[in-house]
Amino acid sequence: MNGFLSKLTILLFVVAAVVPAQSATAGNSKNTVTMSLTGEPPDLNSMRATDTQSGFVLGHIMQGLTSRDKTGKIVPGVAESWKLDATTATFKLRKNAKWSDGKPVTAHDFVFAWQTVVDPATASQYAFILYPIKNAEAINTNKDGKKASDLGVKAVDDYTLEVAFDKPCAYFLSLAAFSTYYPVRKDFYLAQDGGKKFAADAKNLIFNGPFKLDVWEHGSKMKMTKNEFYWNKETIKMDVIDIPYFIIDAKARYNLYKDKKIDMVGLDSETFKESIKDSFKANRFADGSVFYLEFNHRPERVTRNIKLREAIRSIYNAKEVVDKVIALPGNEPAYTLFPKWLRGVGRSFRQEYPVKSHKVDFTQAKKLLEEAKKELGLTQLPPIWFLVDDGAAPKRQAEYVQGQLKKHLGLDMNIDIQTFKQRLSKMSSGDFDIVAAGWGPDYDDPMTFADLFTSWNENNRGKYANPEYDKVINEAMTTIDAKKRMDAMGKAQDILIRDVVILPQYERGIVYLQNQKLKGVVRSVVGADPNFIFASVE
Amino acid sequence: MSVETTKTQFSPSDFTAASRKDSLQQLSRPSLSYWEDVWIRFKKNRQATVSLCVVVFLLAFSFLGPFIWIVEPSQQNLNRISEGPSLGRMALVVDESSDEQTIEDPSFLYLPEHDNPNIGAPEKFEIIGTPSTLGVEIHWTPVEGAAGYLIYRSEKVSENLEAISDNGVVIKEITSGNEIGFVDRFDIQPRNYWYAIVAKSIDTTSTQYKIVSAKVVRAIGIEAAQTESKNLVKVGEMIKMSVHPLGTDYLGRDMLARLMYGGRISLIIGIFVPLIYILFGTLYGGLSGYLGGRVDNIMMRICDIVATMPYLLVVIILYILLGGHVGARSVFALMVAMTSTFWPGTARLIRGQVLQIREEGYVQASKLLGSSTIFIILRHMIPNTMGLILVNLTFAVPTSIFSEAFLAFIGMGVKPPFASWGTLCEEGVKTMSSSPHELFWPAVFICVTTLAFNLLGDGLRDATDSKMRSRE
Amino acid sequence: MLSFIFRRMVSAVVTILALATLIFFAMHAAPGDPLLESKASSPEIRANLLKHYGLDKPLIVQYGLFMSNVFLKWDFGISYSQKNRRVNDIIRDHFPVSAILGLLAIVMATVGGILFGALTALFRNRLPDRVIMMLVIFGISVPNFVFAAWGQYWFTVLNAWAGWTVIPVAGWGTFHEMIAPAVFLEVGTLAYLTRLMRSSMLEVVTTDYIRTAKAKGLSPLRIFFSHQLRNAILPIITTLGVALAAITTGGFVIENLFAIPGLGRYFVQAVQQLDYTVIMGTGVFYGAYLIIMVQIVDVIYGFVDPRIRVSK
Repeated sequence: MNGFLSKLTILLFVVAAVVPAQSATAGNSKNTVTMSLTGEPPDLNSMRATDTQSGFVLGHIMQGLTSRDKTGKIVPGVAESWKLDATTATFKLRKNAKWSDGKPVTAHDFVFAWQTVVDPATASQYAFILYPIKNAEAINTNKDGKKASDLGVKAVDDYTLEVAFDKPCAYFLSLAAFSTYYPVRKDFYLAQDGGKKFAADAKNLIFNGPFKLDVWEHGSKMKMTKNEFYWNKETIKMDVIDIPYFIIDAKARYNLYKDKKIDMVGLDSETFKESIKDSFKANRFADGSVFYLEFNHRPERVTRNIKLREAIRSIYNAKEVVDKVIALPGNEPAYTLFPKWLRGVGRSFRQEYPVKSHKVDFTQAKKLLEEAKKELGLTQLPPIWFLVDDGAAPKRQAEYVQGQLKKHLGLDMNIDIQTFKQRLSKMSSGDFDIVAAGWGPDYDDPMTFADLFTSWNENNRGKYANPEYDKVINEAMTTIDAKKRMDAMGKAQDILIRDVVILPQYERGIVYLQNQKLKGVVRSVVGADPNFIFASVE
Repeated sequence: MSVETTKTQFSPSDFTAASRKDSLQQLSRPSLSYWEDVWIRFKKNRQATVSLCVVVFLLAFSFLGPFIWIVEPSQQNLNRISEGPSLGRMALVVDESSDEQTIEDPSFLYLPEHDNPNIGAPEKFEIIGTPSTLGVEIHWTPVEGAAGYLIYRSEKVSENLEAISDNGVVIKEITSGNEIGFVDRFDIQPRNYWYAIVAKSIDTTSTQYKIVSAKVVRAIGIEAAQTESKNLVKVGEMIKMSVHPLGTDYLGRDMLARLMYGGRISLIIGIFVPLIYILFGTLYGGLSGYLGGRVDNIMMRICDIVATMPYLLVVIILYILLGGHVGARSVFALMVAMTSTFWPGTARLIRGQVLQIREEGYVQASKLLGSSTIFIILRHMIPNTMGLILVNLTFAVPTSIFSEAFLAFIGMGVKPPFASWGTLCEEGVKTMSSSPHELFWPAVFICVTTLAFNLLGDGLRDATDSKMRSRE
Repeated sequence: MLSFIFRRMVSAVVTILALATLIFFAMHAAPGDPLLESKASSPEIRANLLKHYGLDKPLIVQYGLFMSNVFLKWDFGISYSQKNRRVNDIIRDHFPVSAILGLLAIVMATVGGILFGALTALFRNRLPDRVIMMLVIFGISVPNFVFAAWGQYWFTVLNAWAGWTVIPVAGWGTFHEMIAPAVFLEVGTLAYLTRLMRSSMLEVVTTDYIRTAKAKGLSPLRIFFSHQLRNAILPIITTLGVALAAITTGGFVIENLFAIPGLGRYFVQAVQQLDYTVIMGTGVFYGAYLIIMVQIVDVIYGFVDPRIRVSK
């Protein structure tokens, strides 16, 4: 027994010694920000990355032709000047833009990157964002025998890039700041095992942005430090961006913030209440995404009937959902697909094309339901299938809708809870009546939302098909006259509301806590968020 | 008859004939069947009887309770979210105002022409009407050159803007210059709130502000009040709101009703799953043990393979496969998943027991007398393993309930509209610090049930265990 | 003895193969599509992706490839969601974390169970016995994840009140951070083992050989350590296999609650994201690990208790 105990104690000490002792204190250098991501970026290959975590990291370690200033406006990036018209764009690159190994960033790097993106062999899910470029779509979809080298982009010389367009693209400068458009140097790429190991680890990447990726331990941590070769490095005050945690649980992250182990944390409704109790100053910002209930417009579904959709809209109280069901300040009830932050011709899109908030009307709803039943030729409607992600907030919203449908319209509703991928799969196969969905902007122009419901868009999983809508969007796509474009999209907005294509729920706002010493952090709707390029620690 | 101690010679006259008795010996205690004996010994065990009573109570609570407490568990009431347990609260009846959030004054500009770098604060900033849990209506006078306003709210005493913004949050960001009022409905509790308003121009945010405080009373809309009361209610009256003895959940549903209906699901899963798999395990093990030889070997091999499969993995996979994500099917999926992983334990146990009994004298005798296999199994094997089966069953129930709770916790529980104690726990954990009662009650029920069945099992085992019997 | 071990190993191998097959077909039969992202792609891009991941081949071929890759080359493939990580690397990086946590928990539970169980037997029906049994009752009836969530909350309160991190509630890396999760992980097992030890000790006390030892005049302490303890430990060893399984599965929730980068967390995440390769890889790995451990425990028990060897 004694021998056993002593052996045990030794074992425990061995265990303690073997596991490396690391403590995540907030930073060694003064200008350090420590944070946790909600998950490890799955892919730091800028040509394939699709999610916000990767976007955040890439936005700090890379830079495209254009960049954004701290108000979100487009400013020169690698390109110092440009000319843009309906058919072409010419970019003049600055001569002092360098990669982190000292070599200059040239126009060839952009050509190589963009060609690789549209190459079908790369299987990039974001290839579609390059489609405004001439031949991009044809190359990517293997049409007309076009190869990657046929892409309408050319390096006239080392520092001049010429782009040809399929269709006029008024927002191309905004696209050029997006991660899929970042440069990739061909020789370095091929040196990574013929490209197979590119971006697999920190050592398989080179950087032309304000920071470089120093540490990347899969599954546990990442660290970015100031890039000495960045052409604008004098303006960068932050030295280190330390990410010692990848934690999805909001409570765990909140506890870390409370313990002063991280400098920023996003709140959910529960941790928000705790932060009030703990007297933390909460900040809010609208992250630009819109959440809505998408109806299934396929011919075999009851939701194809417009009167039914109008009835459902009449019992749905967006304000109640935002205030009581989701219970997080920062969310704003939405009555249209186009969020408030979008710019119109001169002012915001919302100001130029205003929308009336919809009123709840139970008696009207019942009348509409009766009309719907008549039109559908049914005396009793089958249970409505409501598809939703598994998570606390989506589930609550589903239960709310279930309760409302039963109480005011006497309709039964089945809640179909699926994991994210399964939900997407069911959406694609049309296995739902209503689905809780959302859309985050890729670039700052209303078109990123407007083309969602065209009949040719793969993301239009409800399969709403209206030639009138398609025509209006086409109008917007084939001109760069600002007024004509915005008017067309204003008309699109009217159609979406009139036809109750979707039932908008809310524009998402994030509530978060931030270490008071951290200054100059920019929250962005498109691009890297949060953005530390203009930040410093006081 | 006097006793003569020294008499050693006996003659026939010293003896009288004994009377004829039908029974040769008087039994010292009445003849008991096996089960009567078990019951007596069980009753003596106080712990066990108490837990039996608890179990009966829980069953009554879940299955008969809803007939006494007639409240719809799925009835949502968004005005009574996450209320703590209480025996009745008073509320002020108010006119259910329109659910407008902001109030506009069209005589002002939506957006000013230029930025006003010296933008001031609104002259008046006041609460209109009685601030209540249905909404706090705030009005202000618009400021020249305003493009919007920021409205802060804090729950702590605040005399200046810094205090409010440090302790609170921007509850509303108004983005047009012609809005002059706002109704705050965000998570209003009956307490004091402090509001601050700061005007914003196109680029500048004002450095001046105004503060107002509001003491919120609990209120109920007149329509809702009318449905809850038999008499005619008037605006301005105080009435007693409907009672939720255990509080409400995040959608305002009654916790007591949810616990009752949740109990039905938990207990059905907790009792049926063991019943099914023990039945199956018993038949499987019994057959295997009795038949012996090659058949036994093969059957036990299969049993072993299923037994060593990691239970959680199999359950997760089966759950996904059977489409456990939809309400009705989730209960079925869970039950199938759990039964298919638990039966090998019972099969092994019963088989061991059967192997033992097989060699007993009375079984051999019965076989000699020509009984068929089925008869022997039914008449001899099963009754003699009954004790073991029963004990196993009682221990299996808490394991099942526990497992169901665990699976619910990782997201593989029953889905709405069904709820079980496990899913209630899972939802309760999320709001643990702000509304602990949502976690407390389901957790208590699970613990009490687990404990009761465990102790019941202990008691049954003591009562039926032959080793203990002989030790009396 | 050798044939016993051999039979056990064969049984283990067959089970692992069966498990791998079950997982493979279950994954492919489950609804959902691992290649879908929120931004949809054209059918051509989808076709490219299918080819890239080898999902366009017939199912039987995929099965064959999977089995041969796993069992001949020990290669589980590349994760679908983390496109640059091989599943082998994921297992290699994260399994040690779970293993250490599990090991710590088992050690705590076993040592604690033996200790507390012996104490209750020693001080039967006196105060220590009653107190420990009360705690045992809590340990058995409160689900360990509820306990953990609740405990976590109180630890943050403690930390805030003390001003420094007395007990960390998130993260992993130092021994300090391992305490809380390990404690919560083993609570249920500890209670169970204590109870088991107690009843085992009590059973042993009435046996003939103990009576003989007492009659022989051995000191109570000597009897306790040399006879009672040694024999009473046997049932504990049998249940170690079960305890191991319980702790490994309980690990999933604890890992999530305490933000520990263990394999269990990855498995649950992979299931949610339909990351085929990770599900299959970790599933087979975990399964194999458990199966082998259980067999090892059985063998150890066979060594310790000769009766088992003979009967099987």
